[in-house]
Amino acid sequence: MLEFIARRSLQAIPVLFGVSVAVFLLVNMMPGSAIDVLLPPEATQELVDQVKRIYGLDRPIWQRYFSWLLLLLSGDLGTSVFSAKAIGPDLFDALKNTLQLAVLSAAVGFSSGTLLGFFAATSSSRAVDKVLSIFAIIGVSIPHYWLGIVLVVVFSVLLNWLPAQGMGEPGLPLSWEQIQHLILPVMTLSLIPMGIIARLVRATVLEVLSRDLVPSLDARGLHRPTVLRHVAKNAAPAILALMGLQFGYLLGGSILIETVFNWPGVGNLLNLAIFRRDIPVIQATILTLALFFVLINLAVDILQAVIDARMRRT
Amino acid sequence: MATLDIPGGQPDLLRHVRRRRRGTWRRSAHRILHDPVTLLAAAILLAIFLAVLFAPYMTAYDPYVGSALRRLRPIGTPGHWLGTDEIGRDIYTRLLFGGRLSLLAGVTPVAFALLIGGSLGLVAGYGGGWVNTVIMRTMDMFYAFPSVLLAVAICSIVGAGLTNTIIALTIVLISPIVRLTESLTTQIRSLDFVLAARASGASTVSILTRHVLANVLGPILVYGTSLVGLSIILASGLTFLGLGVPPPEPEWGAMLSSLRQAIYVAPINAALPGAMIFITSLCFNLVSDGLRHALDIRAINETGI
Amino acid sequence: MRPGSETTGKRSSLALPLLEVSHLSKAFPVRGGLLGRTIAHVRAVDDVSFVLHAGEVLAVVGESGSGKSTVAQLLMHLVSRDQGSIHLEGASVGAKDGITVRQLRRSMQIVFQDSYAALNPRLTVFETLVYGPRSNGASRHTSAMRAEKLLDEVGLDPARFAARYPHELSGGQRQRVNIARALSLDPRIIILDEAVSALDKSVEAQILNLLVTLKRELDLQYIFISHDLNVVEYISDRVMVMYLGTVVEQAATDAIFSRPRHPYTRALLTSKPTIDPRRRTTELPIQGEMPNPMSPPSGCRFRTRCPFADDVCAAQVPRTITVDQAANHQVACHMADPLSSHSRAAGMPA
Repeated sequence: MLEFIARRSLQAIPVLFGVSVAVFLLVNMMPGSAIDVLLPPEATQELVDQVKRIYGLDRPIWQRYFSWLLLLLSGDLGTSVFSAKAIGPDLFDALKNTLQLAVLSAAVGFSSGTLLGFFAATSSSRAVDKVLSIFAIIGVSIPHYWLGIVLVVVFSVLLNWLPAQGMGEPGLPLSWEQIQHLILPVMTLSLIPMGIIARLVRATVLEVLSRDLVPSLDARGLHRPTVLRHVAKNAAPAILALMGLQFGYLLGGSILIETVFNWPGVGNLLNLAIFRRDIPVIQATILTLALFFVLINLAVDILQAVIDARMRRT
Repeated sequence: MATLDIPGGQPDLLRHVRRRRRGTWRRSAHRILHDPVTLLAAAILLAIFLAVLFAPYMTAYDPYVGSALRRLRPIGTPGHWLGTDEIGRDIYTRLLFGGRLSLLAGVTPVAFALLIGGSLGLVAGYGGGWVNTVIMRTMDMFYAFPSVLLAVAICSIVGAGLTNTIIALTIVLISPIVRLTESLTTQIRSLDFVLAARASGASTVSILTRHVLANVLGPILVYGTSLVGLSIILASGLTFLGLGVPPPEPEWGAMLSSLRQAIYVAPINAALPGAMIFITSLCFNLVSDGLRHALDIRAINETGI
Repeated sequence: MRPGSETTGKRSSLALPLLEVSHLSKAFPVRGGLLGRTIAHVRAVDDVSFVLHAGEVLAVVGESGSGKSTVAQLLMHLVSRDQGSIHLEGASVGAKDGITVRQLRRSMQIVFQDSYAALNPRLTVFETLVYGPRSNGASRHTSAMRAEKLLDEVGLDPARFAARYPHELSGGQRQRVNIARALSLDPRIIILDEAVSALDKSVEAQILNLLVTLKRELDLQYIFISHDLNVVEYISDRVMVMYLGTVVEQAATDAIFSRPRHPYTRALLTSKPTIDPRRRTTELPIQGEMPNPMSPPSGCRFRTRCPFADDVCAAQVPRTITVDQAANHQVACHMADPLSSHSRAAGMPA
């Protein structure tokens, strides 16, 4: 067991390296470099060279990669070309805001999705199943940025119940003012995972129920809750895997929702950075998000293995 | 045995087989044709597709020309049944023309990704060994990025524009397709009938096409159709962020973005382009579900329909 | 008595064997450990040698995990061998001056146990049957005629069965199709890997009779893999007993059944179900479970379950001794080896 965890974690390291290389190459191959943003097009070559030297852009690419990597490993995320401030603290703050959204949306989405899917699978009424399934498929098909806009239209513009933008006070959502700002984005973000999870839970539970295991357990007179526990144990690995993926998407896909709601999170930061061609910020942001995604997948794999011994042999 | 022979001609058996053949594909088609929801969704898609294709004939307006006098007219305005946008352009017209771009940006990447990803997955799954390792580890690297993030990252490098959007989305979509195909191929390849085919001396290409592909194609197709919806949403999302098709092109995502500015003045208008994205994506997903149901070979075999 | 055995007497043991397998070995790597390295090997087949003469049916028997199916896959080259050689009519398979695997497969085909999994669910019976010949260059016309003829030979009316799909056939019918497919390339040897094990008894009898008829009419040789000793006694000329990847005994069928020398063979025969009330269990049934194939017992692999195990059994791998030249009866046991230090080496009571 421990061996599996160690092995799986070790496997994640080359992926992380690969991701860092990919991010670095990706970003540094951008045509309009930061130079174009800092200097006017008529700037003399001498000035351009000087600026390049200041930002270390004149060194060969692999050198730049390694020095960037070294800094990274020592905790330094670089300096923003736009604001000349260290990226670390701002990114960290933005990350906290994004996590707030992501965690809450995940909690709402996963729980409601699981319940929805479970009821759809176990309900004897076909109508209920149909309705819930329709709900689920809508959740999957809807463009969440559009949904955000629609919700804003309904609740902010037309009804004026909730704020349309921003986060209110930064920090944990303890005051009503903060919670107000959270409601619409969380509603928007949680709908898609809810739909996807509901569909998977429904399919998995149905599949488990159709196996001979359950009637035989039932026939042996086991109580309902025990049978349910067996169903859950069998269904859990696939569902957990999907949840992990969905959480990753919530983090990585935050850029669109944060743009719609002007939420000061990582996605918003990225959006601005792309606009400003602020390469260090872009690098740091994408890397952080990807890193989280890899770590989440790792955690999910380990969790899966804990539940289902069959997964341990990889 | 002699009764079935036609002297000097092709044996009756061949024709007999062909005549009586109720192929598995044919039975799947039969199932779909009796599924009302899927048919409806497919019909809607067809309607959208045709409307978008024949856009110039469906409207009298020019999608690029607006009028400052007629800005942000609401739905139901005579002459502009879906209203006008912030520059005075007819929304209905822009939806039609925008549909071309959005659909193109949605369907093309999936088609390319299926082709490239499917082949890679087949090779990785059937070949095994180091070929498999190389391909799958490379895919892992891409898989490490959430799709939106990857699309954004790629687009921010290669720049805006329709072609670049298609390239970026193709790259994003290849990874999950390769994973699925490889997994399916690995399962099929160890089945007895593939072993039997190998034992009969058939070439690898023949085995791949006749045996492996035929059994892998179904799930891949289902997955592919479900990806189109996602691709359209991603493409519009990219444009919404300013990374896709630049203005003044009428693309659904772009429309959403620009109309959003006017959300307090004309809220309903702002919601329209997104509704199109939603409907299209929903229909693709419904068709995908219908396909999955129709191609379920176990169910087909068990019920014999 | 045993159909098809009329040829046994005619053949002399000096005639060139049709198929000669020498020292066949295959180990499968087991991955594990921190870096996914190979931490162990499953020695599925270890130094297996046997011959198949013209007109013969050779049975391979053993428990699950004995390596029988792996031998079949090695013969068909569906799995690559680690060591050993395979000679078909004197020509070495895979050697430069011998024959290719492709050529081997023209002479040797296989029928699998799971009749359903062995057929592509998307192809009709007809398409399955023409696939082999077409892949080897036959024309559409020739393949079609051949398919029709084959269906007739295996007892399926072409008019009724050619257009059917695997799920429209019963188990017995499917296996007939599989046999027809094996025959479609006109092989000389057919490997039947537990081909009748999954069928109902009555169907099994029909298929066995079909196999016997085909052998006579088409001059075939069979390698019949099974764990059912009654079937083996019925159909085979020679029997090879395998345990944990090694050959423990091989001999002509009646020698094996009436004068088994290896303790494992004797135990197997004891547990064979029989209708004869006079046959009582006089010997110990087999004790224990099959050991882990990743780390088989040292020396003789059967020693952990053998009631006669001695010190030498753990120390040395038993030699293969020919105990009866006429019946070509070979045993791998220290007790049969007069040169071993086994306490019973002088010979077991018959």
